[in-house]
Amino acid sequence: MRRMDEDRTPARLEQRAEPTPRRRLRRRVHDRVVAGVCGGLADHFGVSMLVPRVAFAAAAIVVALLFLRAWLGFGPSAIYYDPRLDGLRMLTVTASAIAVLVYLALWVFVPAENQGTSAAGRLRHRLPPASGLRAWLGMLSLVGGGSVFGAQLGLWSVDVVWAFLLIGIGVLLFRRDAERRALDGGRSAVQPEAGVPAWEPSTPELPRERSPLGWLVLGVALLVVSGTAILQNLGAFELRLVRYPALALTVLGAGMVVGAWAGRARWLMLPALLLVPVVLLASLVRVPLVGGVGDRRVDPGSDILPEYRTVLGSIYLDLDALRLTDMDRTIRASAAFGTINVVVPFDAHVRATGRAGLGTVQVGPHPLETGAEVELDTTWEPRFGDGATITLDLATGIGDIWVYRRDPTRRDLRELGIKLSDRELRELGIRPPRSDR
Amino acid sequence: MTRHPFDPFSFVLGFMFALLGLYFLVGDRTAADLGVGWIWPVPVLVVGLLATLYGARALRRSREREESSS
Repeated sequence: MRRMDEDRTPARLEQRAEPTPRRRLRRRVHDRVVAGVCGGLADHFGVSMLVPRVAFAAAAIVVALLFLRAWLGFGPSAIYYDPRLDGLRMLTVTASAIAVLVYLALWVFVPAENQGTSAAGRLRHRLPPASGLRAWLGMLSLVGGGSVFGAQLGLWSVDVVWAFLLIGIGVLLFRRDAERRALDGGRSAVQPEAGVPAWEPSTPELPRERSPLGWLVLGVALLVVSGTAILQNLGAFELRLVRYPALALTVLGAGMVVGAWAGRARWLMLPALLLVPVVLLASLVRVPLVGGVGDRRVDPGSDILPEYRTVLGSIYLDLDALRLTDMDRTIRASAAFGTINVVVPFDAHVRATGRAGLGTVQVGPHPLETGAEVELDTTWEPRFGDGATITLDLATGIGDIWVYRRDPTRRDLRELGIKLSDRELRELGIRPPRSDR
Repeated sequence: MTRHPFDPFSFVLGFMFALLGLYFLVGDRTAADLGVGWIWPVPVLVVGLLATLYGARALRRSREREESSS
């Protein structure tokens, strides 16, 4: 059997055959996915490239999920929570964050195998002449100052980080493509700086045919997914959210199976791995993807509509306008990715149905339900008064549902002719009248 | 595209991805249907399978090398 993604230079083949001293750590230029760090580590330590790749990919997925959770604004209750797993969770998160930082540091400080200096070294050469320590302190101060300035301008919000991340990935892909073309043309796109010794390979690389299979499969996957979305928008059919990533995953998987016999497309493993958690999460979203993006809010003075929908955002409904009335209402609300909070008046009869694909559902004093595919159908009678009947039909894909009851005010109690003891009044947050003492 | 010797790595992973995609593409299923009991053994199985294949291949290579040197 022939190893496909490994090096095939005569020098490296020779190295495998005979034990040789450990190679100096260099980032790979060929057979890399992002920056060639994993390939460099594999060469340096003499292990399979699969080991660092899987480790860093897993760490990147954990960090990406954390960002996603912060971006969508979910609290810890939105996911399956078990206090016994706190330690394991903390360890996983810390290790993943450290791994991602280590990868970035190696990217910056380790030279590529066709270059004499690292990115940090090249940057230092471009700066005005200064002693090594002073140059690094200067750079540290620039980065620190920039970070503080960004924090003051509010640039460190998760949204902005995401935007920078996506732009960075785009720039990286363009740069990589340009570098690859230049390398295929026989020279590196990044020329070494004047005075900086460039690393020259001692042996020529064996020519290797570039396989179009990976890009072909990726293109087909994107075309199929976008075509399906267009057909759905035209009303040809109605699909659940999970169908889109599942479709892409199926195409990528089929492409890799083809690549087992013809062409080379092992790198499709990375987009496919990133799609797996997306598919699992999307499968839990059963609510209709309607209502656009953004928060929906109803304050006590606002009109109350029969329906509130959002795809990405939270819904807050304060139904206090129905206090001391007999206007029965049915309200439907759904958020594909976001929370729903409903505040009902103190005298309302509540009939609530709550469904969360992944999250928590709690209606008043009823025990909360947390986890995947949570559903609660319950009624909640008022302690004081006999007001309107409010029927709530609430659903989230990934997010929590909370229904609270507003306490009566002193005026409400007076209108209803209800007399309470001092202790009961204090429980409601009302100071007992002086004359009652 | 040129044909090459069978690559088990691409085959196993591709097959698993395609299977997972089809599972959610066909029918009205969610991750909850898979169950926690299924979510962790499958990736472990795939990694185990790959490790075994990788080990077997390395073993065969070393034997071939020994035979060619002797």
